[in-house]
Amino acid sequence: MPPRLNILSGFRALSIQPRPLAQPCVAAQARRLLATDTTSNNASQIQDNNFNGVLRAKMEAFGQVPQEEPAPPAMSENEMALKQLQEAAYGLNTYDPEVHGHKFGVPALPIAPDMNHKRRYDTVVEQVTKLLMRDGKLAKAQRDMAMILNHLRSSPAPKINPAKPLIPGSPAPEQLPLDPVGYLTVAIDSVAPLIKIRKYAKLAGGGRALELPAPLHLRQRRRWAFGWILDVVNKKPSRGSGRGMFPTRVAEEIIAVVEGRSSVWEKRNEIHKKGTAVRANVFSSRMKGIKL
Amino acid sequence: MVLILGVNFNEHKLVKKALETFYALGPAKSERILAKYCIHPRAKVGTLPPKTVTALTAELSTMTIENDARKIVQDNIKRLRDIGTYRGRRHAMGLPVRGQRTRNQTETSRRLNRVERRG
Amino acid sequence: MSAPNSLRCLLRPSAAVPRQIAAATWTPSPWIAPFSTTPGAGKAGTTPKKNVPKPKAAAPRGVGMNPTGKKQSMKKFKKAQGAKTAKPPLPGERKAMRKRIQLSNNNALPVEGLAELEPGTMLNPKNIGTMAALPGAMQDNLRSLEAFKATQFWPMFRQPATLIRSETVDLMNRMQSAASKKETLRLVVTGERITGKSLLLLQSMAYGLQNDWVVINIPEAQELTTACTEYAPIPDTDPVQYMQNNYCLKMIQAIRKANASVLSKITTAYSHPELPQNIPINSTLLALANAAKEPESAWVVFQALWKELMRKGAARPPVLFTLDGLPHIMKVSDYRSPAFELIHSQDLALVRLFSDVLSGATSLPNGGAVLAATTRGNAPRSPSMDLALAQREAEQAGTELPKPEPYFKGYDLRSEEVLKTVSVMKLKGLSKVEARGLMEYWAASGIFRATVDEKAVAAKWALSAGVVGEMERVNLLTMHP
Repeated sequence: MPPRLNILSGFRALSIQPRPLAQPCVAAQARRLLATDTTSNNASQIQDNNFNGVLRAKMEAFGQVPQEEPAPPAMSENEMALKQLQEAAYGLNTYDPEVHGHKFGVPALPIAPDMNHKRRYDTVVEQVTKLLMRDGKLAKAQRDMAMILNHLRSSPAPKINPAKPLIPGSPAPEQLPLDPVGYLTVAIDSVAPLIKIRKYAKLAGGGRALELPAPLHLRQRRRWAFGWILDVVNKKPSRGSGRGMFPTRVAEEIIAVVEGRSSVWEKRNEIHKKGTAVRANVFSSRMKGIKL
Repeated sequence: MVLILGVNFNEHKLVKKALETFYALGPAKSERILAKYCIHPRAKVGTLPPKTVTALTAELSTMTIENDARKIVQDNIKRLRDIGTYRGRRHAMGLPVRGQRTRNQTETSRRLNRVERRG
Repeated sequence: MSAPNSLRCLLRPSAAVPRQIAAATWTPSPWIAPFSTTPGAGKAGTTPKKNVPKPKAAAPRGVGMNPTGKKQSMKKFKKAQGAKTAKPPLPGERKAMRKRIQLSNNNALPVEGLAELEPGTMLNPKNIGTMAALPGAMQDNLRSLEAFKATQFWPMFRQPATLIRSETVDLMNRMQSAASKKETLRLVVTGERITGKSLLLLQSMAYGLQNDWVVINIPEAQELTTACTEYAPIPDTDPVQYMQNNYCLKMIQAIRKANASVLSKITTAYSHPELPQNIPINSTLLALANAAKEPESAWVVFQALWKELMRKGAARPPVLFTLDGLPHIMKVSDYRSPAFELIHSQDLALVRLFSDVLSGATSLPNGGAVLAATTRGNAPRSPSMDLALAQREAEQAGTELPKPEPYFKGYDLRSEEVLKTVSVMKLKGLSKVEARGLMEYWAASGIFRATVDEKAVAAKWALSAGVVGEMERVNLLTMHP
């Protein structure tokens, strides 16, 4: 049977030839070695290189340059250009995009995780701040968050209740106030539920919903946990007055969670127990034909 | 508890609010009484010295308040009624006096407007 | 079947618990099934024993019948009945909580090599840009003078410490020379919000306490003029002046607590027949201050104390009189006279006493200083004060004086009179050296977690324009760890 005619098969004969790949610059290669490899076995290779001036600047940035070498005499811009021309005549690419064309140079690698202005805060802090926000007032939420962290920082170390163990791998309680973000994270992750109860409407007979346990992602789990904390906080009366009271209440509840005094723990246990019970429904005959 | 003009007030009550519980004493008059006896507006009844309390009682007893003030209002209504004016009639009927409509929402006039007016 | 086992089932569904056991615990009844595996689980725990499902615990929904027979109320309009178990705070408790000042924090790292404040520390220009810790005894004195404010960042550090800035050294030297020449330094500290005006007053009080001055402080001028404390006319004054006995008593107690050591060394030189108790000549001023026990006698005692302090010679110490919140006394107060006219702040005796010294009408015979700080948060508008301070500043700079608005009627001549001859110190941002000293202290306390180098200092300095309160906000009130 002859193959069917297809317009796509016609394109197979066509070939696209891109421009030849630019030769990677020798200096860049050397530098990459330097950036990744901290041992000095590349040193001789670098010494032979033609781009001592350029490299020196880079190496100084990494604190690896041998100090006995005298600094090259400063060149005028004109001389620099002539030198570059000369180098270009030898067939060497003298243009290093990381050195030329940047007024303040490029940042040292690896870039710190908070260097992106959209992601400058810890993930938990960022998520919780958004949950604290009311009426779109992010700046107020951020201020509240800062006050919560300051409260955690200045409160005494929590006394852990052995009946309510924290999440494994959490630091010693004495360490917690020194790292308020860690304190917050430990509190939230410790009471975060593993599952939620998902309801399938009218499947249990008699018009009732069939309940099934469903796993939660990390971010979802944290959202549930902090939602519970906020519920408790919003029901508590303030002990003082003034603008610092809401953050104080939140911080006190977080401490209560870590110390095992909070009612949030019961909510977590409750949902886990229920999840254990309704596990039976996973293989229920009523679920036939329904994709989980 | 502090006794002013025969009425007992809680010590945590503001003096200004305590005075305003008397009929015919509103915000303006109570403020003037406070100024007269050099009581600051946020003073609580419990902080008044006994001398000031007696002075306040004496001051209030000279003023036309409570039943005296009510009597004046009742007399005015009675006068209107006696000379047979429309306003007097409306008071007696418990209906709005000043030309409001009576289709609905006349609770206030039904409650208050009468010849022997209480409040 | 116990609860921990069930939870373990949840974590590892296949291995941990044999299936038969788990299955055996299930109750056949369909609608109480969710609760039956765990006898301890709340309300429904008793249902398996009775085998009768209670409609109260797990009421069927959508069945179409109403077992109670009552009319269904609309939930939307029903008032939420939360369990109100918490006791409401007692009167004054909430305010006390708001005003609470915590001066130390054991979680913060102790700063190595932090020098304690000494009598001469703030006079030495070499110390500009360094931090100095407040000694423990002085903390109590400053606390009783209410020099600390709740909005400042004291609870973040192991020990309260202040930055010595160039203005501090300048002011302390002027105070010292005034005291040595037995002159009165009359000065208004002004500046934008959170530029450190109140803290400069605190430093001057600390200097006064360490150098055996008598320190008197009015921490919030608004407490005097916003009609929230008791007042009474002083007999035989024309025009009538008003005393504020309760405030006066509080102030005398603060003076007594803070200056006890100095006051116990000075003896009285006058007999004071008007006092409620007999204070013989040559008894200590501390005993005189102790005579104020009732609000009724507070003003008389304060006058007697002031008279003693104002006596020339006789080894009397210099006096430091400070007031925070100057605009509040530069206007008509909220009090009313018996004739129902508003009382001018300058007719309140305590305010008059302060502004007489500030204006130079009375001078401190044994030398000393009177300092007032303006305030920018929650401050009433006082055009006269703004104008007068601008004029004094122009005089000091030798530029042309700003003129009053010709058609503006809101000026207050009595206030302007007070500020005719004062000197003005305008606080601005920190220099980079001072900013660096501050940031190094924060880093040493474990709060600022990055290296303090030129770049970090420049970044934070640029963000805050050097304004010290903004620097605190940028560094201490952030979501960064």
